[in-house]
Amino acid sequence: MSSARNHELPGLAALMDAPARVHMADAHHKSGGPAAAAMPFWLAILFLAAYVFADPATGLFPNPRFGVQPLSAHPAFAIALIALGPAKAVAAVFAAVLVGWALARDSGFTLAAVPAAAAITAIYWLAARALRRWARWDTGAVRPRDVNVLLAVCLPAAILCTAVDGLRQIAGPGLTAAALPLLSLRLFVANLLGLAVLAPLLLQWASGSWTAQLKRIGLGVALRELLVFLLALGGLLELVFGLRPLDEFRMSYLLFLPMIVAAMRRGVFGVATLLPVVQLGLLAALMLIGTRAGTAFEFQILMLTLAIATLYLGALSDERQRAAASLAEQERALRERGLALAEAQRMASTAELAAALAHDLSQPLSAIGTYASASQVLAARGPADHAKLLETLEQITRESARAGQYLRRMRDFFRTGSMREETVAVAELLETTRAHLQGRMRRGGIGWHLSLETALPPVQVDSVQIGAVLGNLVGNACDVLAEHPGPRTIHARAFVVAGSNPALVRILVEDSGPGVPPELRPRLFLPLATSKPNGMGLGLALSRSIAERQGGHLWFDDSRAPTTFCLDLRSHA
Amino acid sequence: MPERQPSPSLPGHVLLVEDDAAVRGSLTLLLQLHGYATAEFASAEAFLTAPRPLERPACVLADIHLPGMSGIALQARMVHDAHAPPVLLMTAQGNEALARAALLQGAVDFLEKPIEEAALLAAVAAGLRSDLEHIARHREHDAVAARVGSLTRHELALFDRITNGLASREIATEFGLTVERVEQQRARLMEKLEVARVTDLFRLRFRLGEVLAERAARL
Repeated sequence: MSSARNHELPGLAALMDAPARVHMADAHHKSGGPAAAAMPFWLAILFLAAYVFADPATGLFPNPRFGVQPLSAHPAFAIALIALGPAKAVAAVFAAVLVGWALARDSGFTLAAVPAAAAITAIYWLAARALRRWARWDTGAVRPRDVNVLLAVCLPAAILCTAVDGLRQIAGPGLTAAALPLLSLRLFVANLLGLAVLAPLLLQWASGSWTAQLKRIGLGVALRELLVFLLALGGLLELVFGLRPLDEFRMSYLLFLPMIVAAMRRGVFGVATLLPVVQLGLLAALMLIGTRAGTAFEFQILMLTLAIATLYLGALSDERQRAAASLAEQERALRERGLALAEAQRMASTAELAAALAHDLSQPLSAIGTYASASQVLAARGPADHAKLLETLEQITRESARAGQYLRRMRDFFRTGSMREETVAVAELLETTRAHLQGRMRRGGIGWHLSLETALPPVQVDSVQIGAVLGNLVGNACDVLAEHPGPRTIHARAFVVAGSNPALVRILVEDSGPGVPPELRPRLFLPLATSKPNGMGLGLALSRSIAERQGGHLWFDDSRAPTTFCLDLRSHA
Repeated sequence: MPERQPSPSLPGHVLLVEDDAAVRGSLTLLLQLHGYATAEFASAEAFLTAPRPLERPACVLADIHLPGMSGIALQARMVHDAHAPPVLLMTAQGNEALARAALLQGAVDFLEKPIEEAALLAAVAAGLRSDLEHIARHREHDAVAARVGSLTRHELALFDRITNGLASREIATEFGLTVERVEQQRARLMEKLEVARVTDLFRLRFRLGEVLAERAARL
């Protein structure tokens, strides 16, 4: 309906407060709440009508206990309209103030009302500006700070409205100065209560965020919850005012309960929506059943307290939900980053593996290719070179066996790909390594020494993979020592790293060789660094990534005199 | 099967520096079958301590990843030796940065393992051709240096004035000689430098500049 209306009014855009709309969009952007649409024209008209008729309507309650109306609904409509409606709303409000007074039953309407109406409009305008400037009531993300601002704005607005209205009534007929203080106090409380109960709902409604939140919750769910709330409220009102086990004022704190539930469940949206409902229910109970205890003033204060307390509660509940959502989002982002990191590490070790494999395989493949080319030359030459051809073909067979051996070793090395952690004694690991390399050590005349700390705890590793790492270290030492003239010994030592918690077991593999050339040291753990003629060639790079994947570490200690490689492993706690 | 050439268009020596015995052996066999003479070295150090002088033309075929001194380091060292043969590098890993650095440093070619026969033969032929040119240029430079070195101080001054474009009359005035005497001495100078025309003196001076520049660069 609103859009049809908009089409009929081409000048509408000019009526809108363009800067205010920009500001609103800005606010939405910062808070991240639901979109705050511009106030529809029909809603502005509705608010104006509500303003004009709210004042006389509240006067319809014939209860003598109230003297004046129990709450002033109209200032909330005016402030919400100016804050979020078209720019010309101020003029319309000014007119509505005058019309409202003219319609009021017992007021003698005079020209003196014009400056008073201007003053009232100015107060509404200031309050609306202050709300727009310092609070974010036009979004779905209302913070406790916004409740502070609302109360800080409503309090002076209620005082000023009361003062202007009081002065006007004194200037008019039918009221004496003597009745003024009591009348003023009642008017003030009615004004403040009206603002506190109605302004949150009207501000949210006018900005469109109320509708947006309603859509988010779903109309069916909202209606169901409203029904439950109404039943609870009705039951409580019947208990307090109808059954009356104690006097009704002492029982009225029970009205807090459904509001607290609403605040915790639906935040500011729920509180803003239901406060007017509770207020209406309370008024209806007072009108229809009446009360013997407490004054209207006491019930007003009760309702004011209820409004303030539940608004804060709702804002805090919203804030907690937002914090929980942002925390969940952060955790999700963190988890994704962690996954990406693990993936990157896997890629890196795959790249190392591929580089090592490419390096190892390219040697026999290159030899095979060259031997094959030579075979072609020999075959073309004829029978004289027959013996040489056979010899060359045999070389090809030998080289392809060597390539196959690399591949098999690689497969053994990574067996199934997944690790199988077990608890192994360090002595057992080193003995397996020694037994594996026994032949090479004997051929090279290399001595093997083992020093294990007493009471060495077992380690928590995949024994096949760590066995391969140790085999690589000791095998490297064997290769170096085989061509070294001096003494040939390999010394394996193991001890618990002092002060490590959980305890780390450090294994040192030392050899009496000439040491690692200084120029090789920086790239010792890079895949290309290995270039030994007969080594497994998988390289220290791969050994290091295996050690690190099992929570350990592998490095070369260049501060020690004999060539020393260090391997840290997690002990079995 | 394509027709095989038993002896290459340009015979020469290929010096293999490679730590993998199978790779070394296969390359030796193939190159020998193509008519090249070969020598094998298991490391850069072994190559550098081999007896000299080497037979020419020759080229070195070295693996980049060697135990001890790397192929790159070997090549860098040989670039500074005026009498060293050119170096061809080979590697098991495709590494463009390494190849570019080696080529900038003066390597003749960069072969990636597994090495194709055609690429190997082309690279070796190019290496040997480059060595031949190198040797020829060297011989010429040495000859120029020797001839110029045999001149007396006076002849050297005369050579300098003539190749700076001074006329005989101007030279005669400078040295206090007759024009006839200067022309006599010029004929003797050309005889000593084994050139037929005066323009050849200019060409010789240009070569001398080249020799000096090359020797300065080697310092």
